[in-house]
Amino acid sequence: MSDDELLLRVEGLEKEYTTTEGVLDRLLGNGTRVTAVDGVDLEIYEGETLGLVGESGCGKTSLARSILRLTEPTAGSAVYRDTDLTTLEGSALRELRADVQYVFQNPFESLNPRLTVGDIVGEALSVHDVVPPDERDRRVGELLETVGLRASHATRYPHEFSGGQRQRIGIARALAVEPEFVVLDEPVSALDVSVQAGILNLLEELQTEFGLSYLFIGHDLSVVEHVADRIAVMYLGEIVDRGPTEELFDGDAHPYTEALLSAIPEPDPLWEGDRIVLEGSVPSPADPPSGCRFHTRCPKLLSPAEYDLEPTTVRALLELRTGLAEADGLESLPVDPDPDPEADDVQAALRDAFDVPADLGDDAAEAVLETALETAAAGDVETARARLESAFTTPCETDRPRLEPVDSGAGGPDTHAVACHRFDDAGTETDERPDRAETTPTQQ
Amino acid sequence: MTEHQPTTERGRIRIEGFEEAVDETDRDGVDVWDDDRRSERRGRLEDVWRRFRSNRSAMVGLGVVAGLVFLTVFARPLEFSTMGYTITVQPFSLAPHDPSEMYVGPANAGPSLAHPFGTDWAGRDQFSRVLAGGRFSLSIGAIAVALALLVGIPLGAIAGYAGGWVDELVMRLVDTLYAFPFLVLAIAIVAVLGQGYWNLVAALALTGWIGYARLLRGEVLAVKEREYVTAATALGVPDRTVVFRHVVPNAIAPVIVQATLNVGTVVLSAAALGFLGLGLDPSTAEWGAMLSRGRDSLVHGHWHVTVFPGLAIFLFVMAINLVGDGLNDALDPQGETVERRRR
Repeated sequence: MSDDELLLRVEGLEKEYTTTEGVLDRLLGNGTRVTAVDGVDLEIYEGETLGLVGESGCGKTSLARSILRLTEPTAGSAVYRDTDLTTLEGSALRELRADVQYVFQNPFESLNPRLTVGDIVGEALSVHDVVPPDERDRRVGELLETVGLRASHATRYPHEFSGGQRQRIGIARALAVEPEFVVLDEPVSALDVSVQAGILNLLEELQTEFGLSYLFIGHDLSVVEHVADRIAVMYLGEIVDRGPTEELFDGDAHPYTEALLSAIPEPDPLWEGDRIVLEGSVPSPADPPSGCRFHTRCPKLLSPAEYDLEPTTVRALLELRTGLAEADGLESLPVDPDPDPEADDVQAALRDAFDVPADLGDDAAEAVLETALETAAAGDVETARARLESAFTTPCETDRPRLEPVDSGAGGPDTHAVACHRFDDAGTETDERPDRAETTPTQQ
Repeated sequence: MTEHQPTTERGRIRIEGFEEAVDETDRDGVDVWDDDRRSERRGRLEDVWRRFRSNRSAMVGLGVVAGLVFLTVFARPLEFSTMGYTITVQPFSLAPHDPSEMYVGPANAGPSLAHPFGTDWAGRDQFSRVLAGGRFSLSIGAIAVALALLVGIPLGAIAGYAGGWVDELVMRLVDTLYAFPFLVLAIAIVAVLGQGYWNLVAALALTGWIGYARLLRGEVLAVKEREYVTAATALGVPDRTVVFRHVVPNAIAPVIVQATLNVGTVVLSAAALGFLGLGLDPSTAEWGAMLSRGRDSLVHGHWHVTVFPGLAIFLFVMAINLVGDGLNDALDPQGETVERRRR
């Protein structure tokens, strides 16, 4: 569906929130900074739908609102055709809002309860003088019919409508200014499943009819798969995976994308595919992890360069290190507080507690681990942790991966780009890239 | 039966053609609605009125206020004189005597048939004076509150919506004015401006707007974060329109309630200033001024001189408070709170 005409190019967009409040805080520079969107690059081509997915709080909405200047981006640019949206001011910005529109997530919140539907939709017409004043009522009626409501509904108030109908009103409002590009911010996630399909089909029809381009934000991958031509996956303010929908669903993808895909519910009761369950919760964007931001939860960590370890082993060693770092002493570790511990038992218990295999499969690594565990068993947790850290630091912890194309198609909308060290050309990627079949047997 | 083997392949069960299965209009129940049921539809104001009407004490208050307004309007004929012509707007006169005419009866006489509220030290008919005095008290209340709203609403709305230094500026001014006791500030203003009807109104308006500004600013801070405000911004609606079309109408309810309650407070303050001798001219038939003059008569045992204007003030302020409480309930009913929570 996508032509190759570039509509919107977002480069290095950043949005930072500060928790400073009031003059005094500002003067003293108190408060923490939260980077909700951290250097995002995106392209949207004419007539296509770009799906933006990610879990709650990863910065999807902040990104979309920063692009449309509904919040002020901290850095970066968003060039719509030839205009940089981030530098527009005042009336120029207001005029451009006739071309780029926004449909809000919550239809119960996004309509002014004190205005009739006719006023809500008509306001868009009057602000941009889309039609002469005497034709506004007729046009409002037409718009309402376009989105599947009735022209006579213009005299009613939003509270008289159901969620799905309200979302249609929101869509009619966005369409009123005859935009080219519409941001759909989770347009169906607040709606009943039975109504979702209706809204999605409506959006698709409108796209064909008016040649719209969409940025479709969602966290439900099955919905996004249905509507999007291309998908960008976001994690902690960064795009980690970006490419055509089919390639993301079928090809090699970022471990986070794989985890998201595996979480799509499958109606087949006999389906036995593996669900990749991510451990832990999303780290706070106020204090993002070093290196690859996903490394604290990634099931496919790269082995430290000196050794040849399985991803699960690397994962377990990382958990062990985190456990040791958080512990105050041997007592607070999840091992039996034996008054007279046999050194071997404590070591085995430690391995057990963090799922470290009895044999790492690499002699050199095994030797380092044993020494470290002995130290830990003797009570010197901090030294053990330091020893493990110097030996088993994976590249994922130290180097921040960049969004690099993984297939031959350089540039253009069909490039599949992934921000993961497993796809680094420079890395030991050819032999380290685990067979996808190991974790997703669907590919067999 | 081979296809019923367990599998790791996705998509063996597919829901085909759900596009056709969804009859969009029917799903949303649009067609279920009959446009003829329009009579059942209620605007928000009608809703508010319906809830207000079901509140008995509020209706009593409203009745009392309406009655007092009626009595004061029809107490004396309303006339405007310009360039030698006199236009009579309202010819009726409920008051039996001119309120300032002296010695229509014996001085300090108790209530009688001829003078239901008795007479004061100058033999003026107290009944006529109480009726006509309502004109000053009620109009001072209404005009002072209206002027205060006229200042407080724009300042509060702009401070809340714009934020930053504008907010700081307005709110620090409000804080400064709040630092003075209300009556002391009013006394100071009257002392500077001098006595008189409009000076009294000005003093009460200048001390009254700060409350509305602060109240509205707080509401605006909450409302401006609502999505429909962002939606208006996203449409390219100019800020000024956003504030007065989307933000203020959704934030104004507590201010309306506060203003209604304040009409009573302002009438009391006007009476208090009158009592302190800082209100209108002592001979004017204003409730507060009448109380003040009545003090001397009270020590001589002439109770009726102060009781009736006092009762009038009490009645009006209580009625206005009942109306304000009823309005509060009607504007923010449980129904709406529940609705908001459901969102």
